[in-house]
Amino acid sequence: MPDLRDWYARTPGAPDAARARLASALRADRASLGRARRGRGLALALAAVAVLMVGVALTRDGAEERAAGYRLAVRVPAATRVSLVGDFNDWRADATPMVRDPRSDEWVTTVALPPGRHGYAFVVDGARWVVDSLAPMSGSADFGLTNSLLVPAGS
Amino acid sequence: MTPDGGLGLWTSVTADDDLVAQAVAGDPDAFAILVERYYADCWRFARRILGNEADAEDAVHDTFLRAQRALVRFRPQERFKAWLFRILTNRCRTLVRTRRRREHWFPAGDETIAVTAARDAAAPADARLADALARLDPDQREALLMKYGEDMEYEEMASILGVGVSALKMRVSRARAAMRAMLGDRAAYD
Repeated sequence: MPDLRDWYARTPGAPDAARARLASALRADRASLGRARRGRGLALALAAVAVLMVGVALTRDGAEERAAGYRLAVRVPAATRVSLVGDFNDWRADATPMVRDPRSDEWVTTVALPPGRHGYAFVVDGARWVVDSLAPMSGSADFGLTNSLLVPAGS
Repeated sequence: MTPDGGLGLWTSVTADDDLVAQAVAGDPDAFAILVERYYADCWRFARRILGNEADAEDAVHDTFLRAQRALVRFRPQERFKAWLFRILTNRCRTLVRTRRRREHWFPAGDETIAVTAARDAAAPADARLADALARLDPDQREALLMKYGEDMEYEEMASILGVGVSALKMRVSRARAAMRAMLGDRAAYD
């Protein structure tokens, strides 16, 4: 009876074609991210949603819903760039960069959200994953991190 | 940096962290190195968990695609391989759940045994081992292969599977006992 370790070590390797298919798929995925960034438009209406985060100052200025979009505003001290990630943009850190409003010192963006529950979080300076500690949380089976859930009005 | 050659060895955490940082910064070659470094390990695990090449390819490829998109979520204090294997394990579990058409259930008294239709066509001894593994509880199979195949420490397995060390030791112990009972070899996994 073969030893399990030996049997495992003798596992047949992946066909070369499989590795080639993966390489191609990874390149295509990177290319699609680039196209989405270049071609993304913001045909969105605005609504204000404020969140309060640990270590981050934020303001709540009430709900302001215009058309089918929502505006998110957050204050992140000392950040050089902030992006919004969520299931609405495939959790891509470069898909929804936020813009600093010099008048309020808040990072803001607008997104179109269909009715329903949406997971989201913030990526600070391209490396730090931050969640909204006062909004409803959700676990991630894949990545072990919690996301905050935003439920648009009317969903 | 050189790939580890697919020997299943843990590589330098620092080196992996540097590659992740470079990949996050937009260097496509950095992630390609990580793929080369861990593809064989991922393939071997998926191939043995799922029992066939087609499912293993789906699981491994989905894992690396998800990893590429989520590199920014990787925390440097964790080993990259553990992070990657967490994704891989979840992909394998999803495939097991959604591809039950390949499984046949044979009632055996009060016990129902699942046998994968796709089995190793190699030596009969290998086939018996593969069959025995396929009959294990999925959680036990995962733990057994991580421990005896990937030579992982229980603490790393715990971080991957989200289960306590004690529970994992129990799973491995029960898996070993079940394998011995099926194969009649008391010394195979000592």
